[in-house]
Amino acid sequence: MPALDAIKAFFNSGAEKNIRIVWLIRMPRILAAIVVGFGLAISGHIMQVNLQNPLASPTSLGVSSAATFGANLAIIMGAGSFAGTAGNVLNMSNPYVITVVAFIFAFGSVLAILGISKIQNFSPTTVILLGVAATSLFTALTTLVQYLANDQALSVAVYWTFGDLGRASYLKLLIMSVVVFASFIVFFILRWRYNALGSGDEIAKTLGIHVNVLRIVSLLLASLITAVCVSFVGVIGFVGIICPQLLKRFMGSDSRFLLPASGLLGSILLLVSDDIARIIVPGMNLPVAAVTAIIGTPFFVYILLRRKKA
Amino acid sequence: MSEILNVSNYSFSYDKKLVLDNISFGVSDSETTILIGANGAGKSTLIKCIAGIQKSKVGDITLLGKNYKEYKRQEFAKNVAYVPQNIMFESMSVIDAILLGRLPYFSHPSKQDYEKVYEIIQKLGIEHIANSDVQKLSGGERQKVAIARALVGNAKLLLMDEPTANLDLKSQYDTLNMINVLKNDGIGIIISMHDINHALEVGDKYVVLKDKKILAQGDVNILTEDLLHEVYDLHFHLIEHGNTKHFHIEGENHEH
Repeated sequence: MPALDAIKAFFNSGAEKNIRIVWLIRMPRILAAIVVGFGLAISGHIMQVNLQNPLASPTSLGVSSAATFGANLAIIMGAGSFAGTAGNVLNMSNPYVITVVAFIFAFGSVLAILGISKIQNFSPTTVILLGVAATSLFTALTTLVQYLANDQALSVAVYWTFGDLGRASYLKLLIMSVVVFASFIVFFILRWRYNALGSGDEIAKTLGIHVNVLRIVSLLLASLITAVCVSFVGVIGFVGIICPQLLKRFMGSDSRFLLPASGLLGSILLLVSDDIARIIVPGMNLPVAAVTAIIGTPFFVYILLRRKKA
Repeated sequence: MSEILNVSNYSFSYDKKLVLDNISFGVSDSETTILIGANGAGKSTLIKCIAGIQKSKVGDITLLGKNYKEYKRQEFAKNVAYVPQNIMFESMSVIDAILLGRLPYFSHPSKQDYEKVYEIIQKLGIEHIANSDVQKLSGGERQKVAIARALVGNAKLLLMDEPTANLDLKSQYDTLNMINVLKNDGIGIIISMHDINHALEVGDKYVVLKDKKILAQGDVNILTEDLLHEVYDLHFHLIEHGNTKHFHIEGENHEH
Protein backbone atom coordinates (compact mmCIF):
# COMPACT_ATOMS: atom_id res chain seq x y z
CA MET A 1 0.00 0.00 0.00
CA PRO A 2 1.45 3.41 -0.89
CA ALA A 3 2.40 5.57 2.10
CA LEU A 4 -0.16 8.26 1.29
CA ASP A 5 -2.98 5.69 1.18
CA ALA A 6 -1.81 4.28 4.49
CA ILE A 7 -1.81 7.75 6.10
CA LYS A 8 -5.30 8.41 4.73
CA ALA A 9 -6.51 5.07 6.01
CA PHE A 10 -4.99 5.84 9.42
CA PHE A 11 -7.30 8.87 9.58
CA ASN A 12 -10.24 6.74 8.43
CA SER A 13 -10.43 8.18 4.92
CA GLY A 14 -9.73 6.65 1.54
CA ALA A 15 -10.65 3.15 0.38
CA GLU A 16 -12.57 0.95 2.86
CA LYS A 17 -10.19 -1.92 2.08
CA ASN A 18 -7.19 0.20 3.06
CA ILE A 19 -8.84 1.31 6.31
CA ARG A 20 -9.51 -2.31 7.18
CA ILE A 21 -5.92 -3.31 6.36
CA VAL A 22 -4.44 -0.49 8.44
CA TRP A 23 -6.72 -0.84 11.47
CA LEU A 24 -7.35 -4.58 11.55
CA ILE A 25 -4.01 -5.95 10.30
CA ARG A 26 -1.21 -3.36 10.46
CA MET A 27 -2.06 -1.53 13.71
CA PRO A 28 -2.46 -4.61 15.94
CA ARG A 29 0.82 -5.86 14.51
CA ILE A 30 2.67 -2.58 15.17
CA LEU A 31 1.22 -2.26 18.68
CA ALA A 32 2.07 -5.91 19.37
CA ALA A 33 5.70 -5.26 18.37
CA ILE A 34 5.82 -2.30 20.76
CA VAL A 35 4.19 -4.11 23.70
CA VAL A 36 5.90 -7.49 23.24
CA GLY A 37 9.32 -5.90 22.57
CA PHE A 38 8.99 -3.71 25.65
CA GLY A 39 7.76 -6.63 27.78
CA LEU A 40 10.43 -9.13 26.75
CA ALA A 41 13.23 -6.57 27.18
CA ILE A 42 12.20 -5.49 30.71
CA SER A 43 11.60 -9.14 31.58
CA GLY A 44 15.17 -9.88 30.42
CA HIS A 45 16.63 -7.09 32.52
CA ILE A 46 14.73 -8.23 35.62
CA MET A 47 15.85 -11.84 35.07
CA GLN A 48 19.50 -10.76 34.68
CA VAL A 49 19.40 -8.62 37.83
CA ASN A 50 17.62 -11.19 39.98
CA LEU A 51 19.50 -14.24 38.72
CA GLN A 52 22.77 -12.26 38.81
CA ASN A 53 23.68 -13.59 35.40
CA PRO A 54 24.14 -11.49 32.23
CA LEU A 55 23.04 -14.42 30.07
CA ALA A 56 19.72 -14.86 31.86
CA SER A 57 16.72 -14.21 29.60
CA PRO A 58 12.93 -13.95 29.82
CA THR A 59 12.84 -17.69 29.11
CA SER A 60 15.37 -18.71 31.78
CA LEU A 61 12.61 -20.39 33.77
CA GLY A 62 11.68 -22.67 30.88
CA VAL A 63 8.73 -20.49 29.82
CA SER A 64 9.17 -20.75 26.04
CA SER A 65 9.71 -24.49 25.85
CA ALA A 66 6.83 -25.14 28.27
CA ALA A 67 4.52 -22.88 26.24
CA THR A 68 5.64 -24.58 23.02
CA PHE A 69 4.88 -27.97 24.50
CA GLY A 70 1.46 -26.79 25.72
CA ALA A 71 0.60 -25.31 22.34
CA ASN A 72 1.84 -28.41 20.48
CA LEU A 73 -0.18 -30.66 22.77
CA ALA A 74 -3.33 -28.57 22.27
CA ILE A 75 -2.85 -28.47 18.50
CA ILE A 76 -2.24 -32.18 18.18
CA MET A 77 -5.14 -33.01 20.52
CA GLY A 78 -7.43 -31.19 18.10
CA ALA A 79 -7.39 -27.45 18.81
CA GLY A 80 -5.21 -26.82 15.83
CA SER A 81 -6.72 -29.14 13.27
CA PHE A 82 -5.93 -28.03 9.75
CA ALA A 83 -8.39 -25.38 8.70
CA GLY A 84 -7.06 -24.33 5.35
CA THR A 85 -4.47 -21.87 4.16
CA ALA A 86 -4.46 -18.17 3.61
CA GLY A 87 -1.62 -17.36 1.26
CA ASN A 88 1.32 -19.24 2.71
CA VAL A 89 -0.01 -19.12 6.27
CA LEU A 90 -1.62 -22.04 8.02
CA ASN A 91 -4.67 -21.34 10.16
CA MET A 92 -5.46 -22.70 13.57
CA SER A 93 -9.03 -23.72 14.17
CA ASN A 94 -9.12 -22.75 17.84
CA PRO A 95 -6.31 -20.32 18.68
CA TYR A 96 -7.66 -19.34 22.12
CA VAL A 97 -7.55 -22.92 23.41
CA ILE A 98 -3.95 -23.14 22.18
CA THR A 99 -3.09 -19.86 23.90
CA VAL A 100 -4.68 -20.92 27.20
CA VAL A 101 -2.98 -24.33 27.24
CA ALA A 102 0.37 -22.74 26.29
CA PHE A 103 0.00 -20.24 29.13
CA ILE A 104 -0.96 -22.93 31.67
CA PHE A 105 2.20 -24.92 30.87
CA ALA A 106 4.42 -21.82 30.73
CA PHE A 107 3.35 -20.42 34.06
CA GLY A 108 3.08 -23.90 35.59
CA SER A 109 6.74 -24.44 34.74
CA VAL A 110 7.66 -21.18 36.48
CA LEU A 111 5.69 -22.06 39.62
CA ALA A 112 7.22 -25.56 39.71
CA ILE A 113 10.77 -24.18 39.37
CA LEU A 114 10.27 -21.58 42.10
CA GLY A 115 8.61 -24.21 44.31
CA ILE A 116 11.51 -26.65 43.93
CA SER A 117 14.18 -23.95 44.28
CA LYS A 118 12.73 -23.05 47.70
CA ILE A 119 14.64 -26.10 48.99
CA GLN A 120 17.89 -24.33 48.05
CA ASN A 121 16.66 -20.98 49.43
CA PHE A 122 15.95 -19.62 45.92
CA SER A 123 19.64 -19.56 44.99
CA PRO A 124 20.05 -17.98 41.51
CA THR A 125 22.23 -20.88 40.36
CA THR A 126 19.58 -23.41 41.37
CA VAL A 127 16.84 -21.43 39.60
CA ILE A 128 18.91 -21.20 36.39
CA LEU A 129 19.80 -24.92 36.44
CA LEU A 130 16.17 -25.90 37.05
CA GLY A 131 15.24 -23.65 34.11
CA VAL A 132 17.73 -25.51 31.93
CA ALA A 133 16.31 -28.84 33.13
CA ALA A 134 12.72 -27.70 32.43
CA THR A 135 13.72 -26.51 28.95
CA SER A 136 15.29 -29.90 28.16
CA LEU A 137 12.27 -31.77 29.51
CA PHE A 138 9.69 -29.74 27.56
CA THR A 139 11.78 -29.81 24.38
CA ALA A 140 11.91 -33.61 24.64
CA LEU A 141 8.16 -33.83 25.29
CA THR A 142 7.49 -31.52 22.31
CA THR A 143 9.56 -33.78 20.07
CA LEU A 144 7.59 -36.78 21.32
CA VAL A 145 4.23 -35.10 20.71
CA GLN A 146 5.30 -33.95 17.23
CA TYR A 147 6.52 -37.46 16.40
CA LEU A 148 3.08 -38.85 17.20
CA ALA A 149 1.18 -36.15 15.27
CA ASN A 150 -0.24 -36.45 11.75
CA ASP A 151 1.23 -34.28 8.96
CA GLN A 152 -1.43 -31.58 9.08
CA ALA A 153 -1.35 -31.13 12.86
CA LEU A 154 2.44 -31.20 12.74
CA SER A 155 2.43 -28.34 10.20
CA VAL A 156 0.23 -26.23 12.45
CA ALA A 157 2.29 -27.15 15.55
CA VAL A 158 5.57 -26.21 13.89
CA TYR A 159 4.06 -23.01 12.52
CA TRP A 160 2.92 -22.03 16.04
CA THR A 161 6.51 -22.07 17.30
CA PHE A 162 7.48 -19.35 14.78
CA GLY A 163 6.86 -16.10 16.61
CA ASP A 164 4.30 -14.13 14.62
CA LEU A 165 3.09 -10.70 15.66
CA GLY A 166 0.25 -11.03 13.16
CA ARG A 167 -1.57 -13.25 15.67
CA ALA A 168 -2.24 -10.30 17.96
CA SER A 169 -5.86 -9.13 18.10
CA TYR A 170 -6.99 -6.05 20.01
CA LEU A 171 -8.21 -8.24 22.89
CA LYS A 172 -4.84 -10.00 23.09
CA LEU A 173 -3.13 -6.62 22.91
CA LEU A 174 -5.19 -5.32 25.81
CA ILE A 175 -4.30 -8.34 27.98
CA MET A 176 -0.60 -8.12 27.07
CA SER A 177 -0.51 -4.35 27.68
CA VAL A 178 -2.10 -4.65 31.12
CA VAL A 179 0.33 -7.39 32.19
CA VAL A 180 3.42 -5.66 30.71
CA PHE A 181 2.77 -2.15 31.97
CA ALA A 182 1.45 -3.16 35.42
CA SER A 183 4.60 -5.28 35.89
CA PHE A 184 6.74 -2.39 34.65
CA ILE A 185 5.27 -0.10 37.32
CA VAL A 186 6.08 -2.68 40.04
CA PHE A 187 9.64 -3.10 38.67
CA PHE A 188 10.13 0.66 38.53
CA ILE A 189 9.02 1.07 42.15
CA LEU A 190 11.59 -1.59 43.12
CA ARG A 191 14.42 -0.04 41.02
CA TRP A 192 16.58 0.98 43.99
CA ARG A 193 16.25 -2.50 45.45
CA TYR A 194 17.51 -4.00 42.20
CA ASN A 195 20.51 -1.66 42.36
CA ALA A 196 21.26 -2.91 45.89
CA LEU A 197 20.96 -6.52 44.71
CA GLY A 198 23.87 -5.78 42.36
CA SER A 199 26.14 -5.60 45.42
CA GLY A 200 25.20 -9.17 46.33
CA ASP A 201 22.50 -10.80 48.46
CA GLU A 202 24.39 -10.22 51.71
CA ILE A 203 24.62 -6.45 51.27
CA ALA A 204 21.00 -6.31 50.09
CA LYS A 205 19.92 -8.09 53.29
CA THR A 206 21.88 -5.69 55.48
CA LEU A 207 20.15 -2.79 53.67
CA GLY A 208 16.80 -4.09 54.91
CA ILE A 209 15.70 -5.92 51.76
CA HIS A 210 13.76 -9.20 51.96
CA VAL A 211 15.88 -10.71 49.20
CA ASN A 212 13.85 -13.90 48.69
CA VAL A 213 10.54 -12.03 48.54
CA LEU A 214 12.01 -9.52 46.06
CA ARG A 215 13.41 -12.34 43.92
CA ILE A 216 10.18 -14.39 43.89
CA VAL A 217 7.94 -11.42 43.05
CA SER A 218 10.33 -10.23 40.32
CA LEU A 219 10.81 -13.65 38.70
CA LEU A 220 7.07 -14.36 38.81
CA LEU A 221 6.16 -11.06 37.13
CA ALA A 222 8.98 -11.28 34.57
CA SER A 223 7.90 -14.83 33.71
CA LEU A 224 4.23 -13.81 33.60
CA ILE A 225 5.08 -11.19 30.95
CA THR A 226 6.95 -13.80 28.91
CA ALA A 227 4.27 -16.45 29.37
CA VAL A 228 1.52 -14.11 28.18
CA CYS A 229 3.54 -12.79 25.21
CA VAL A 230 4.76 -16.23 24.10
CA SER A 231 1.28 -17.75 24.46
CA PHE A 232 -0.23 -15.01 22.27
CA VAL A 233 2.41 -14.46 19.57
CA GLY A 234 4.76 -17.46 19.82
CA VAL A 235 8.43 -17.71 20.72
CA ILE A 236 10.52 -14.58 20.10
CA GLY A 237 14.07 -14.98 21.33
CA PHE A 238 17.01 -12.72 22.11
CA VAL A 239 15.15 -9.38 22.51
CA GLY A 240 15.30 -10.01 26.25
CA ILE A 241 19.05 -10.65 26.28
CA ILE A 242 20.24 -8.16 23.68
CA CYS A 243 18.50 -4.99 24.85
CA PRO A 244 19.63 -4.82 28.50
CA GLN A 245 23.12 -6.13 27.70
CA LEU A 246 23.67 -3.70 24.83
CA LEU A 247 22.49 -0.68 26.84
CA LYS A 248 24.48 -1.74 29.90
CA ARG A 249 27.65 -1.09 27.92
CA PHE A 250 26.63 2.50 27.27
CA MET A 251 24.71 3.55 30.38
CA GLY A 252 25.86 1.30 33.25
CA SER A 253 23.72 -1.07 35.31
CA ASP A 254 21.52 1.41 37.18
CA SER A 255 17.99 -0.02 36.97
CA ARG A 256 16.47 3.47 37.22
CA PHE A 257 17.63 4.11 33.66
CA LEU A 258 18.36 0.64 32.29
CA LEU A 259 14.85 -0.71 32.92
CA PRO A 260 12.86 1.85 30.87
CA ALA A 261 15.64 2.19 28.27
CA SER A 262 15.69 -1.60 27.72
CA GLY A 263 11.93 -1.57 27.22
CA LEU A 264 12.13 1.21 24.63
CA LEU A 265 14.96 -0.50 22.75
CA GLY A 266 12.99 -3.77 22.84
CA SER A 267 10.00 -2.07 21.21
CA ILE A 268 12.18 -0.48 18.52
CA LEU A 269 14.12 -3.70 17.84
CA LEU A 270 11.01 -5.83 17.46
CA LEU A 271 9.30 -3.21 15.31
CA VAL A 272 12.33 -3.03 12.99
CA SER A 273 12.78 -6.83 12.98
CA ASP A 274 9.11 -7.29 12.06
CA ASP A 275 9.41 -4.76 9.24
CA ILE A 276 12.50 -6.55 7.93
CA ALA A 277 10.68 -9.88 8.25
CA ARG A 278 7.80 -8.56 6.16
CA ILE A 279 9.73 -6.81 3.39
CA ILE A 280 12.98 -8.74 2.92
CA VAL A 281 11.28 -11.39 0.74
CA PRO A 282 8.58 -9.68 -1.36
CA GLY A 283 5.13 -11.19 -0.88
CA MET A 284 6.18 -13.29 2.09
CA ASN A 285 6.05 -12.69 5.86
CA LEU A 286 9.11 -14.33 7.41
CA PRO A 287 8.81 -15.29 11.09
CA VAL A 288 9.93 -12.31 13.19
CA ALA A 289 11.51 -14.72 15.71
CA ALA A 290 13.95 -15.82 13.00
CA VAL A 291 14.99 -12.24 12.24
CA THR A 292 15.51 -11.31 15.93
CA ALA A 293 17.44 -14.55 16.48
CA ILE A 294 19.66 -13.91 13.45
CA ILE A 295 20.48 -10.47 14.83
CA GLY A 296 20.76 -11.86 18.37
CA THR A 297 22.96 -14.91 17.96
CA PRO A 298 26.25 -13.14 17.08
CA PHE A 299 25.67 -10.76 19.98
CA PHE A 300 25.00 -13.65 22.35
CA VAL A 301 28.32 -15.23 21.32
CA TYR A 302 30.06 -11.86 21.83
CA ILE A 303 28.75 -11.61 25.42
CA LEU A 304 29.77 -15.19 26.08
CA LEU A 305 33.34 -14.67 24.83
CA ARG A 306 33.72 -11.31 26.54
CA ARG A 307 32.59 -12.83 29.85
CA LYS A 308 35.06 -15.69 29.47
CA LYS A 309 37.88 -13.26 28.70
CA ALA A 310 37.00 -11.19 31.81
CA MET B 1 30.39 4.25 77.28
CA SER B 2 27.37 2.00 77.21
CA GLU B 3 26.93 -1.49 75.84
CA ILE B 4 25.20 -1.56 72.44
CA LEU B 5 25.65 -5.21 71.49
CA ASN B 6 25.63 -8.35 73.57
CA VAL B 7 26.30 -11.82 72.21
CA SER B 8 25.35 -14.51 74.70
CA ASN B 9 26.01 -18.28 74.49
CA TYR B 10 25.68 -18.06 70.72
CA SER B 11 26.34 -21.08 68.52
CA PHE B 12 25.94 -21.43 64.76
CA SER B 13 25.92 -24.51 62.53
CA TYR B 14 26.09 -24.69 58.74
CA ASP B 15 24.96 -27.91 57.06
CA LYS B 16 24.91 -29.55 60.51
CA LYS B 17 28.56 -28.62 61.02
CA LEU B 18 29.30 -26.48 64.06
CA VAL B 19 31.01 -23.22 63.00
CA LEU B 20 30.63 -21.10 66.16
CA ASP B 21 30.52 -22.68 69.61
CA ASN B 22 29.09 -20.89 72.65
CA ILE B 23 30.27 -17.35 71.85
CA SER B 24 29.72 -14.59 74.45
CA PHE B 25 31.02 -11.02 74.37
CA GLY B 26 29.80 -7.42 74.45
CA VAL B 27 30.53 -4.25 72.46
CA SER B 28 30.18 -0.66 73.67
CA ASP B 29 29.80 2.58 71.75
CA SER B 30 32.99 4.50 70.86
CA GLU B 31 34.85 1.22 71.04
CA THR B 32 36.54 -0.91 68.39
CA THR B 33 36.47 -4.65 68.96
CA ILE B 34 38.78 -6.78 66.86
CA LEU B 35 38.07 -10.43 66.10
CA ILE B 36 41.39 -12.22 65.77
CA GLY B 37 41.93 -15.76 64.58
CA ALA B 38 43.42 -17.94 61.89
CA ASN B 39 41.46 -18.74 58.72
CA GLY B 40 38.51 -20.98 59.52
CA ALA B 41 38.32 -19.88 63.16
CA GLY B 42 34.84 -18.44 62.56
CA LYS B 43 35.57 -14.68 62.37
CA SER B 44 33.67 -13.98 59.13
CA THR B 45 30.74 -16.19 60.17
CA LEU B 46 30.49 -14.36 63.49
CA ILE B 47 30.49 -11.00 61.66
CA LYS B 48 27.74 -12.27 59.32
CA CYS B 49 25.65 -13.51 62.26
CA ILE B 50 25.94 -10.11 63.93
CA ALA B 51 25.07 -8.46 60.58
CA GLY B 52 21.85 -10.54 60.48
CA ILE B 53 22.92 -12.33 57.28
CA GLN B 54 23.21 -15.71 59.02
CA LYS B 55 20.82 -16.76 61.75
CA SER B 56 20.91 -19.31 64.54
CA LYS B 57 18.39 -20.46 67.10
CA VAL B 58 21.06 -21.27 69.68
CA GLY B 59 21.93 -18.37 71.98
CA ASP B 60 20.98 -14.70 71.84
CA ILE B 61 22.21 -11.46 70.38
CA THR B 62 20.80 -8.21 71.69
CA LEU B 63 21.25 -4.80 70.05
CA LEU B 64 20.50 -1.68 72.12
CA GLY B 65 18.83 -3.94 74.68
CA LYS B 66 16.48 -5.58 72.16
CA ASN B 67 16.79 -9.18 70.99
CA TYR B 68 17.62 -9.66 67.30
CA LYS B 69 14.50 -11.82 66.91
CA GLU B 70 12.28 -8.84 67.80
CA TYR B 71 13.69 -6.55 65.11
CA LYS B 72 11.96 -5.92 61.79
CA ARG B 73 14.45 -6.08 58.95
CA GLN B 74 14.37 -2.38 58.05
CA GLU B 75 14.59 -1.22 61.66
CA PHE B 76 17.55 -3.56 62.12
CA ALA B 77 19.19 -2.26 58.94
CA LYS B 78 19.05 1.30 60.28
CA ASN B 79 21.17 0.27 63.26
CA VAL B 80 23.69 -2.22 61.90
CA ALA B 81 25.93 -1.60 58.87
CA TYR B 82 28.24 -4.10 57.18
CA VAL B 83 31.29 -3.75 54.95
CA PRO B 84 32.12 -7.13 53.34
CA GLN B 85 35.58 -8.37 52.44
CA ASN B 86 34.78 -8.61 48.73
CA ILE B 87 33.15 -5.38 47.70
CA MET B 88 30.89 -5.47 44.63
CA PHE B 89 29.08 -2.58 43.02
CA GLU B 90 26.97 -2.27 39.90
CA SER B 91 28.18 0.32 37.43
CA MET B 92 26.82 3.61 38.85
CA SER B 93 28.07 6.91 40.26
CA VAL B 94 29.68 7.03 43.71
CA ILE B 95 26.82 9.27 44.91
CA ASP B 96 24.19 6.71 43.85
CA ALA B 97 26.24 3.81 45.28
CA ILE B 98 26.42 5.55 48.68
CA LEU B 99 22.73 6.47 48.47
CA LEU B 100 21.92 2.73 48.61
CA GLY B 101 22.90 2.89 52.29
CA ARG B 102 19.77 5.02 52.85
CA LEU B 103 17.50 2.24 51.49
CA PRO B 104 16.13 1.38 54.96
CA TYR B 105 14.69 4.92 54.94
CA PHE B 106 13.24 5.38 51.44
CA SER B 107 11.46 3.96 48.40
CA HIS B 108 12.33 7.11 46.48
CA PRO B 109 15.25 9.21 47.80
CA SER B 110 14.43 12.64 49.25
CA LYS B 111 16.54 15.82 49.40
CA GLN B 112 17.47 14.85 52.95
CA ASP B 113 18.84 11.50 51.77
CA TYR B 114 21.08 13.27 49.23
CA GLU B 115 22.21 15.74 51.92
CA LYS B 116 23.29 12.82 54.11
CA VAL B 117 25.27 11.40 51.17
CA TYR B 118 27.10 14.72 50.57
CA GLU B 119 27.79 14.98 54.30
CA ILE B 120 29.48 11.57 54.42
CA ILE B 121 31.38 12.23 51.17
CA GLN B 122 32.89 15.35 52.74
CA LYS B 123 33.64 13.59 56.00
CA LEU B 124 35.57 10.80 54.27
CA GLY B 125 37.27 13.24 51.88
CA ILE B 126 36.09 11.57 48.67
CA GLU B 127 34.60 14.63 46.94
CA HIS B 128 37.00 14.20 44.01
CA ILE B 129 35.46 10.83 43.04
CA ALA B 130 31.80 11.68 43.84
CA ASN B 131 30.66 11.56 40.22
CA SER B 132 32.96 8.74 39.06
CA ASP B 133 31.71 5.29 38.08
CA VAL B 134 32.23 3.19 41.21
CA GLN B 135 33.27 0.17 39.13
CA LYS B 136 36.22 2.10 37.71
CA LEU B 137 37.73 3.04 41.10
CA SER B 138 40.80 1.49 42.75
CA GLY B 139 40.38 -1.09 45.53
CA GLY B 140 41.12 1.52 48.22
CA GLU B 141 38.63 4.01 46.79
CA ARG B 142 35.94 1.35 46.52
CA GLN B 143 36.62 0.45 50.15
CA LYS B 144 35.95 4.08 51.11
CA VAL B 145 32.71 4.10 49.11
CA ALA B 146 31.61 0.87 50.84
CA ILE B 147 32.37 2.44 54.24
CA ALA B 148 30.47 5.59 53.22
CA ARG B 149 27.49 3.45 52.14
CA ALA B 150 27.59 1.69 55.51
CA LEU B 151 27.73 4.94 57.48
CA VAL B 152 25.19 7.02 55.56
CA GLY B 153 22.32 5.21 57.30
CA ASN B 154 23.46 6.46 60.77
CA ALA B 155 24.09 2.94 62.07
CA LYS B 156 25.04 2.47 65.72
CA LEU B 157 27.17 -0.57 64.96
CA LEU B 158 29.62 -0.93 62.06
CA LEU B 159 30.86 -4.39 61.05
CA MET B 160 33.88 -4.82 58.81
CA ASP B 161 35.22 -8.09 57.46
CA GLU B 162 38.98 -7.92 56.80
CA PRO B 163 38.93 -4.26 55.71
CA THR B 164 42.68 -4.07 55.01
CA ALA B 165 42.96 -7.33 53.07
CA ASN B 166 43.50 -6.89 49.30
CA LEU B 167 44.51 -3.22 49.68
CA ASP B 168 47.81 -1.54 48.85
CA LEU B 169 49.87 -0.06 51.70
CA LYS B 170 48.59 3.50 51.32
CA SER B 171 44.96 2.34 51.28
CA GLN B 172 45.57 0.14 54.33
CA TYR B 173 46.95 3.18 56.17
CA ASP B 174 43.99 5.37 55.08
CA THR B 175 41.47 2.72 56.15
CA LEU B 176 43.03 2.32 59.61
CA ASN B 177 43.01 6.10 60.09
CA MET B 178 39.38 6.27 59.00
CA ILE B 179 38.39 3.60 61.53
CA ASN B 180 39.93 5.64 64.34
CA VAL B 181 38.03 8.75 63.20
CA LEU B 182 34.72 6.83 63.12
CA LYS B 183 35.19 5.49 66.63
CA ASN B 184 35.34 9.06 67.92
CA ASP B 185 31.85 9.62 66.47
CA GLY B 186 30.41 7.33 69.12
CA ILE B 187 29.58 4.23 67.07
CA GLY B 188 30.59 0.71 68.04
CA ILE B 189 32.84 -1.08 65.57
CA ILE B 190 33.59 -4.79 65.15
CA ILE B 191 36.33 -5.77 62.73
CA SER B 192 37.65 -9.17 61.77
CA MET B 193 41.37 -9.03 61.05
CA HIS B 194 44.14 -11.52 60.60
CA ASP B 195 46.95 -8.92 60.61
CA ILE B 196 47.78 -8.54 64.29
CA ASN B 197 49.70 -5.27 63.85
CA HIS B 198 46.78 -3.64 62.01
CA ALA B 199 44.56 -4.83 64.86
CA LEU B 200 46.84 -3.10 67.38
CA GLU B 201 46.53 0.20 65.46
CA VAL B 202 42.76 0.43 65.85
CA GLY B 203 41.62 -2.02 68.55
CA ASP B 204 40.32 -1.20 72.03
CA LYS B 205 39.22 -4.71 72.78
CA TYR B 206 40.17 -8.07 71.31
CA VAL B 207 38.19 -11.29 70.94
CA VAL B 208 40.49 -14.16 70.02
CA LEU B 209 38.86 -17.12 68.23
CA LYS B 210 40.27 -20.58 67.77
CA ASP B 211 38.49 -23.73 66.64
CA LYS B 212 35.04 -22.04 66.66
CA LYS B 213 35.40 -20.89 70.29
CA ILE B 214 36.59 -17.78 72.08
CA LEU B 215 40.09 -18.47 73.38
CA ALA B 216 40.54 -15.13 75.13
CA GLN B 217 39.04 -11.66 75.26
CA GLY B 218 39.98 -8.35 76.80
CA ASP B 219 42.17 -5.30 76.22
CA VAL B 220 45.56 -5.21 74.50
CA ASN B 221 47.26 -6.88 77.49
CA ILE B 222 45.74 -10.26 76.61
CA LEU B 223 47.76 -10.32 73.38
CA THR B 224 50.86 -12.19 74.40
CA GLU B 225 53.46 -14.05 72.37
CA ASP B 226 52.19 -17.37 73.75
CA LEU B 227 48.55 -16.64 72.92
CA LEU B 228 49.38 -15.64 69.34
CA HIS B 229 51.58 -18.70 68.95
CA GLU B 230 48.61 -20.84 69.99
CA VAL B 231 46.30 -19.06 67.53
CA TYR B 232 48.51 -18.86 64.45
CA ASP B 233 51.07 -21.60 65.09
CA LEU B 234 53.83 -19.03 64.45
CA HIS B 235 56.44 -17.54 66.75
CA PHE B 236 55.83 -13.87 67.55
CA HIS B 237 58.25 -11.47 69.18
CA LEU B 238 56.72 -8.50 71.04
CA ILE B 239 58.41 -5.12 70.58
CA GLU B 240 57.20 -2.31 72.87
CA HIS B 241 57.90 1.41 72.38
CA GLY B 242 56.33 3.29 75.31
CA ASN B 243 52.58 2.65 75.00
CA THR B 244 52.70 1.12 71.54
CA LYS B 245 53.03 -2.59 70.88
CA HIS B 246 54.21 -4.32 67.75
CA PHE B 247 54.61 -8.00 66.99
CA HIS B 248 57.39 -9.31 64.81
CA ILE B 249 56.93 -12.77 63.30
CA GLU B 250 59.97 -14.95 63.68
CA GLY B 251 60.91 -18.08 61.72
CA GLU B 252 58.77 -21.09 62.51
CA ASN B 253 61.71 -23.09 63.87
CA HIS B 254 63.12 -20.24 65.93
CA GLU B 255 63.21 -20.95 69.66
CA HIS B 256 63.09 -18.02 72.06
